[in-house]
Amino acid sequence: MSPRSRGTRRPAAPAGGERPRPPAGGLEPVTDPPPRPAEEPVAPPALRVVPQPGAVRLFARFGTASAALAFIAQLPGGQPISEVRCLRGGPGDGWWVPAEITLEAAREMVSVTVGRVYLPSGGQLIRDRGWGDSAATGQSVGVDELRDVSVLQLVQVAGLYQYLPQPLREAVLLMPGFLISGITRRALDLHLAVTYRPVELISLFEPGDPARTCYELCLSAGGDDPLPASLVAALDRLPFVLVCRRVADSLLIRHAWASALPDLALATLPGEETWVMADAAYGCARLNPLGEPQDGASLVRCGEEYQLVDISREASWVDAADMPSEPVLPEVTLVPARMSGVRVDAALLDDADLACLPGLLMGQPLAESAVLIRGRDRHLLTAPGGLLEQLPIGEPLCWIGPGNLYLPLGYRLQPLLPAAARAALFPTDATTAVILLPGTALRYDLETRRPVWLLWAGPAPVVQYQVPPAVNADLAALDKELAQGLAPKLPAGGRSVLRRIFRTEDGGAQQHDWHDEAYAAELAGDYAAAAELHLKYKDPMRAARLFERAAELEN
Amino acid sequence: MMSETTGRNGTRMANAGLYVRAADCYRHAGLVGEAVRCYRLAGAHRTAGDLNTSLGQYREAAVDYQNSGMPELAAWLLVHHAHDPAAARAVLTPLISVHVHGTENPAAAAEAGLRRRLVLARCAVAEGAALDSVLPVIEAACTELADPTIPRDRFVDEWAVALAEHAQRYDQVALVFAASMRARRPGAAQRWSQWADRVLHTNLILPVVPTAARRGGRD
Repeated sequence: MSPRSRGTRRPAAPAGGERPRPPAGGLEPVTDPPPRPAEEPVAPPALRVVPQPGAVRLFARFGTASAALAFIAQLPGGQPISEVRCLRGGPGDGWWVPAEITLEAAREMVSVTVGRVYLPSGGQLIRDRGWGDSAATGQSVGVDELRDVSVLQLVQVAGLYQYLPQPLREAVLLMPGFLISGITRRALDLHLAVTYRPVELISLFEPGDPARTCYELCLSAGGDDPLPASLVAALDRLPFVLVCRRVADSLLIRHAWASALPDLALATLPGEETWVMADAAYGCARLNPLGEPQDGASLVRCGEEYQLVDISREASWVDAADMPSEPVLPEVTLVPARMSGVRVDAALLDDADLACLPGLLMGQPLAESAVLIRGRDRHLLTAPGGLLEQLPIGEPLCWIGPGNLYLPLGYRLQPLLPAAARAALFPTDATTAVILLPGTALRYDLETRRPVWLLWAGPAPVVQYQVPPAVNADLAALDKELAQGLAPKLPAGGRSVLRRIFRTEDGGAQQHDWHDEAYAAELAGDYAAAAELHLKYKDPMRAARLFERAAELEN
Repeated sequence: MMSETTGRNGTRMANAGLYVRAADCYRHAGLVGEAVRCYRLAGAHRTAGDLNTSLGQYREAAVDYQNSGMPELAAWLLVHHAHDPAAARAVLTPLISVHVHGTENPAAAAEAGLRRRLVLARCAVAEGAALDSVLPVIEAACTELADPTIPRDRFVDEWAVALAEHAQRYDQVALVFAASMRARRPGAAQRWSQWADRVLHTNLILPVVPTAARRGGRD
């Protein structure tokens, strides 16, 4: 801008005549401005197609692909990103971007990402000296040393960077099919719109690789409302779920990640395809839909009483509404129930969970007392007084009694049953435990319980008895006499040593600690006695739980 | 599971001892929330209220005190600690209507009446009433505390001090403590010194109150 143009703007001269002479004193009459026409919607500024005046052809060199992409993003528009020419090669195998802009602008833009400007001269690229209108005579690079690369290669090499998560109005989730129903149910609980469809993912950079089929789940809150941030964060933590934001119909980018190339510029690259861009944890892919989007509500299973029936031939709808329905005996089932402050008394494990138990419990206090009752494919883990810890594996159970009757945490019986009814319907004794599950019940033989530490403790090593030399000599003499068929004469000291050794062996096998005693009382239903034992041995938490059980049974 | 086994108050009394044992064990294990739950199941609402107060859960404590027949204490917690004078008035309103109909013991009503007046005065101050409006009820409290024939009501003593302190009338605080000392309430001088140390950051030197025998001899 010239210094003159920074002054006040002069009024334009009237067309076809000379400019009127200003009045004396330089004062001009003030007149009301003409009414402004109604403002029309302002169209976004058109991209500049015409090269800038004074533009020269130059090459910008960068050390990294992300720096080259940042330079491409700053270039004046008009040219589709996919047609931007990129080169690679020269010293340091750098990234080169030819451009046609003014030398001053190029110097400024390149300096942002610590690049260099080169000017072509006779088949060579001469490094710009940084001032003036011409290149210096310094370092040169032959044009034939450079090879063409695509913008997609730059995007691939540059990768994605992470930024602060922004609120999402729509999230596109790519996941295996078995996760769809659970996430859909949670999203519907939050009054979100859910659609899903099967899609095919083809490798973006290696198109020959086999395609992978998965599901696309779209979540939206409707209108301008954002999705709950806690839900998005929770979904993002799931290991098999890729949470994407929709940049355009042709581009999905992992939530809270971005490319060095701006989103809208990147969205022009796929053309008619749809691309999924994600970091190396998930990978990038072309997305091909395999079906139309379906409403997620169709994945929610209705209860038995919602099945469709034929229209009644005898009565009209009005009559049918007035007729008393036949009484239906309620069936004892489990229904989800809200509960808080309920302690975990046991856990139901499968075979895969058993493999994780040593890593979880080894070295923990719970390993001292926990017992495992193996079943066919489900196994019961419990402890005297209850586990009282929520393990990250298995299904947590809570005791409801009477006897050893357990329910999954978060469920209750429907209809509610008193203790006598529960005892009659699900009888247990000191040797059995019953676990009620939705639609089934499991019974375990508590006599087969084993300490949980047997899962990771192998057999004990062979013990070598170290007896005094004198006793050893006596034993050798005894052995010799037995071999000769003579009546053995036991030395006075050796017999007592042998007795001590074997007494130690037998005693070790028959030792019972207070845990067994307390558990026996608990299984027999004497919770107060079991609680007293736990209290005696400084375990007030389990004592409290057992006192509570005793009190509940007294009701 | 709670929903399966709890319900009738009559049968719950039989196992209150077990619930109290469970609550004591939970307290011993450091699980105060569980202990409160068990104390409530045992019907020991006063203990549950004390535990909730120690945890700073004044609204929960107010519910417990109300269930244990101490509505004035519940209302005081609501207005003085939870800063909710409307809830405190809601606790006291049915009691005031009962008092009007004359169904209470007159002696107990008089004692409870002074507590209620203190709570209502605290409510008025919390709602923006003039600070001097507390003077009549503090004067009544001083009169009661100065009478050695009336057993000490700990709540009247503490609430009158708190009310005067909240109204920034430290002179009235001194009058309340002085009334207690004149009636030879146990620990009155110590409480006054502790208050002066906490609020005024000064050591209080109190004169020795002469005994009745000395007073009689001097007279």
